[in-house]
Amino acid sequence: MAEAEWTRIATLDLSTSRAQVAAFAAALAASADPVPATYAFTVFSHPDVMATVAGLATERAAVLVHQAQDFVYHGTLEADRHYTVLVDWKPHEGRPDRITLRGRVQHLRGEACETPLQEFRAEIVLFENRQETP
Amino acid sequence: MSSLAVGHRFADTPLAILSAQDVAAYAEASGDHNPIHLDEQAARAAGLPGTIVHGMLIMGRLEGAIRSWLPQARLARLSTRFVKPLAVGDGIAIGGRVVRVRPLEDGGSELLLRLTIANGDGAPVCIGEAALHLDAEA
Repeated sequence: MAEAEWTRIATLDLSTSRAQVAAFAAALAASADPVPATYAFTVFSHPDVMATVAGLATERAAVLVHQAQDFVYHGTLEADRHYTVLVDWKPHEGRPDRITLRGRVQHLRGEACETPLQEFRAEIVLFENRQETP
Repeated sequence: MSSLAVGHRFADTPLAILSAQDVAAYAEASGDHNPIHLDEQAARAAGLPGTIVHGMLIMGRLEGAIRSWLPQARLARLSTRFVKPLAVGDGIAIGGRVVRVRPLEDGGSELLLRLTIANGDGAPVCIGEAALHLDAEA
């Protein structure tokens, strides 16, 4: 089966303001320095991303459940910066009830790099309720 | 090279309960307000037994455990897969062991850890792997 194509969702701004990072780290009972490795993942909660995946879920009367995650780090995020994150998605090969979301954090100052600073993926199940409703 | 050998097992983290307050705080900080994490009725209507903890909250706790074991290491890769949902109010205990050590070109080393997260009953809820880079020892 041929690999599915990625579909662009949005190019997003990721702020690492100390206040936002501190709130995120506190919710993990973690230190805010360094910026937690999972911080960039919060772009998947952006309204543009949510609208796309919610649309896919609604087509199937499903809810979204994370199944798996994958992160590759070439560098950590610096505090008080703005990063650009490219977000896209594709259907899961062989599993029509799943999609993969991908975020790629670009280097600062628009450096032209083939390798993103961080790349993360989430496999999301479009979970359908097959139980009888009372 | 690292002094940690293949087979080294890190001490399991103590059971940490993830309460409704913890989940609400994570929803606020991450922006993930999916009702299956926050609303018992919505979770049940979706076919789940009740509200479940955000997978990324569990991942964040996993990173904390890795940093407590190896504070000097740099995280290079992390991948995890959930094998069952974690109910809000249940707890997690995190275990890890070294399954591979390989030298890096810069003289440092890469450790590959196999990770497990168990709930309060000791049943696995998540498995994963992390690659960590360590500088050459002075």
